[in-house]
Amino acid sequence: MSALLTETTRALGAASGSAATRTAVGALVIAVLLLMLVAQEMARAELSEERTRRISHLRFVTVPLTLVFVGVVVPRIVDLLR
Amino acid sequence: MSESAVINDLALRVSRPARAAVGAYVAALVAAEALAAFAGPVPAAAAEGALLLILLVHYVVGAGREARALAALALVPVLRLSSLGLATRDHVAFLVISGAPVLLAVVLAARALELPGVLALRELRLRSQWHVAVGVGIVAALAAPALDVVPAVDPHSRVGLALAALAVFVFVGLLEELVFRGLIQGALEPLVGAWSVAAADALFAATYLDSGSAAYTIGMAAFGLACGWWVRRTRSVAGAAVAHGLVAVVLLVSLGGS
Repeated sequence: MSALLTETTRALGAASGSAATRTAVGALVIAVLLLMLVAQEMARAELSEERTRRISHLRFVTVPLTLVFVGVVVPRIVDLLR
Repeated sequence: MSESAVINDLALRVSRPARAAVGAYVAALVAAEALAAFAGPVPAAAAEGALLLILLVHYVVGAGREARALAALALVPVLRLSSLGLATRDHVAFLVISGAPVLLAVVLAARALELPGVLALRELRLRSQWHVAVGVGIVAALAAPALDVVPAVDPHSRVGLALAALAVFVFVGLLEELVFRGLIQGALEPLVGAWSVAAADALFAATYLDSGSAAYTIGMAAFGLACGWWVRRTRSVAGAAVAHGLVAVVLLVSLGGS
């Protein structure tokens, strides 16, 4: 077991894991990413130079979450196309 | 004045509300990790997502002193959202798929938060670093048979074993040390001084709450505390990262791990 691989992720990944739970978790991740991107764009126009610089630093969260988004969505699209 | 004395002096000058806010975030993140262990993945993902958004808003609009610490703390929800969102049946593939976004977050965060020393793993060539790494690896190999072990990674060939060992080394040992000791402890230190070791270890241990074994969680908390102390003392995460990687390989691959 590790910080990434836990009993919960093991159960989620198992073939018998609930598809509804996996979908709910994936939807939550996507919602967080969308909220972040919207807030980022709204704040960019409003804030000072220092704050704008910090907003540009948020790439360290948006880029990884975008990868997670791709990892959540692509398998479902592949499933639909089969 | 020594470097750690200077850092402690700086920490004392930071306002109490800033330290209280960081403490509250650490407690909230520990609680969110406990949700993953005891309430299920959906409440945990919701709590971690909400905390991530709050932390980042506070980072953008907050004062300068605690800003870096708040951004570093955001790596914990990123780690958990990645692991919950990308759960797959194959454990080695899972470590790579869910670990890659977190590793990318670490690299980007180290640059953005101006903590590039976190990634200086070449410091392993220093005797103070590789001595502890090899020593801890040997102790783990000797202690592993005494642990209550359940295989976590079950490779069927030598190539599979090598790939599993590499994945576990990078995405368990290296990654966790970079996140918890490198970035989180490093960003908290100017704010809370020596307490950064305990705070980072509390978060590290919280991510192990869902390991299914209380003994394993307690053991990893103690190991994390030792790594934190070593990183603070030597100002390098290299030895701890390799030591953690060796421990993870011994426990999770070669002998099976709890």
